[in-house]
Amino acid sequence: MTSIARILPRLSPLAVLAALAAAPFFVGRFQTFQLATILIWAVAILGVNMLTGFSGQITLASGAFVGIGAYVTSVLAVHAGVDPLLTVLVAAPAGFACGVAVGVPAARLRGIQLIILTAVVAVAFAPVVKRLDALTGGAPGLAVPRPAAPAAWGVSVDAWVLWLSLIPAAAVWYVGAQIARGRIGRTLVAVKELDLAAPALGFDPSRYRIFTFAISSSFCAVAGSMYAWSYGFVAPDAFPLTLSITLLACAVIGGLTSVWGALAGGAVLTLTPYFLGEVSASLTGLLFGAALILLVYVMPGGVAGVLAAARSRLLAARRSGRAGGLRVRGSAAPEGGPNRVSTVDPETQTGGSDVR
Amino acid sequence: MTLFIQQVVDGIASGVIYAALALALVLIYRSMTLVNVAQGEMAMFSTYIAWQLTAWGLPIALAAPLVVGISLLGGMAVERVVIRPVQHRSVLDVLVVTLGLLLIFNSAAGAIWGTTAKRLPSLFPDDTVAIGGVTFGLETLGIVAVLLVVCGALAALFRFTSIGLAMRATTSNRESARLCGIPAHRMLMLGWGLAAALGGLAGVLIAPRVFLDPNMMLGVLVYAFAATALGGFDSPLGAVIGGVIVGVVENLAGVYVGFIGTDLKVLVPLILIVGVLLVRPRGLLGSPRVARV
Repeated sequence: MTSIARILPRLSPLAVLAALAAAPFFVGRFQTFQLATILIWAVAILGVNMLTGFSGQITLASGAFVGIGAYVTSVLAVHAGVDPLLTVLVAAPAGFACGVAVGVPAARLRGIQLIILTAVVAVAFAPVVKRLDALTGGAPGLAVPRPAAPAAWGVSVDAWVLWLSLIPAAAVWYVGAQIARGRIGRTLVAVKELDLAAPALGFDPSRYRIFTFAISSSFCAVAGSMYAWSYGFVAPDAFPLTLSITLLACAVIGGLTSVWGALAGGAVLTLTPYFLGEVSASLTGLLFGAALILLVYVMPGGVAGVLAAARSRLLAARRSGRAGGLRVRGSAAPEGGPNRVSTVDPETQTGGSDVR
Repeated sequence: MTLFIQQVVDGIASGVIYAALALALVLIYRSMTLVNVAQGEMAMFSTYIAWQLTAWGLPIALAAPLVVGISLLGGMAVERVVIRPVQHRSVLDVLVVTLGLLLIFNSAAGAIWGTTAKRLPSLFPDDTVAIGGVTFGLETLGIVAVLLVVCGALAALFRFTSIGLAMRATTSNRESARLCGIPAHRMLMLGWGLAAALGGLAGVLIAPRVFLDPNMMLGVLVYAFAATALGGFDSPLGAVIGGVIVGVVENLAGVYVGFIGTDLKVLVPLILIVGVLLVRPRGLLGSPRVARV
């Protein structure tokens, strides 16, 4: 039983990957496109998670970094004729470099000042892109050739884009999970929780902050590349400040400290406008804003935090089950049993416990 | 030289509007060490209400004070309903809540009034007076006059009235203020109300110069951020000075720095903010931050 519990988490990413890869054979072209869109935002939200969940920094520049990645891919594909798939190899380091550029001043700042700095970056993005119109096509935007499979294979563009998107998404996931589980992730949480004490323990918080900022920006830029593949079009106003806030909202909805929460967040970000769009486009923003506030009120760990709490209760119950402790624990828990998800584990409220 | 002075004057005209919003930010920062990221969007919403009133036939001279009053009540309601439940939580949590507010106000304005730009009539006649070759728009002079009066009134409120004293006491030490019998919660509510009223006024004043749309205040908010960063987050005087400096520098850079031009003016606050935060994080007039480990 224990061995299954140990193997299962390793298998589930592969299972999700396989399910996504098989999806185009079972669902329509539009659903395939939506799956690719979910992947885009999941990757960007994972970047937000890295920064906000593990390092405790809030950024409003994530949307701008998605934009940077999208434009790197588009400009390379349009002006230099580079294969769109390869451009991600440039977009990721470009995002990393821009992340370092913003991260160096950002590492010295806390909460409010950081919000201000990144908000300005987000607001400055569109005018700068419009100004560099020789390269970026200015305000009207830039049409990008979507990657296409060899004609003889008879694969739809949407399926091909989804398959291509799985490659960077899987890579980003692997890196993210390694960081989250490993020494860096633990140190980041330490730096977040013990801002002033961390240097006394021998960590240089600035270095970790800059690194997280750069990694986060790099993930966002990769999402941008995928965006350009999926949509085949980029425009300066597609990456506004409100996109960054929406990404943050969905990261919080999914759960800030979980790599799986990012996938849930991506699905929320993609599907909510789809279902609400027929009513009103503005309704989505209203809903995300309200969700953001309500989630902070009721469950600080987000959905994934609640799930992690439920899981850890379940594991604890099973562990103590042999010694007959299950009953004791179960009766101590509120009615509904140990896996009632409405109760938040006090540990996860800090956002630190599911990094173990 | 005349051109230079003209640009400085024009810069001051936008600078005082940044100063008004910056002052609103400082009001809230001083009372709860929180920058209300939604301040600009709340101001935008107030401005839409003003537009709606004029669309119903009210003259702008009547609509403007009415909107300031509505904003005052609205700001108090936002503090009571949304902010108070989280006020003891971490900075991160409260910031996230204000970000949610930003999104809500932005989307609500889009849902109610649509996203096409609207035109709000100006409070002042579209005339100019020339003094020594420098042209002053009556609108500019009017805006400066209104904001000077408002700043004076605010300063008087804080200095000479018992409510102002109670608000300052709440800012200085909430617990002690409460022990002295000051209704600290109500003072915080009032602070939010005043900030929203100030923002609403700034919105009504700037809307005739830019078109009224749901994203109108995002840019202004960034300039107000720069003003508060420059002047110091907790200094009202710093906010005003910072706002004017940002306005003037922005305008001069747009004219004299070729690459920036009118399109990239938004880079000016970015550079100012980075510079100030790196060199003197507390701003020109702010107090230094200390923390206990």
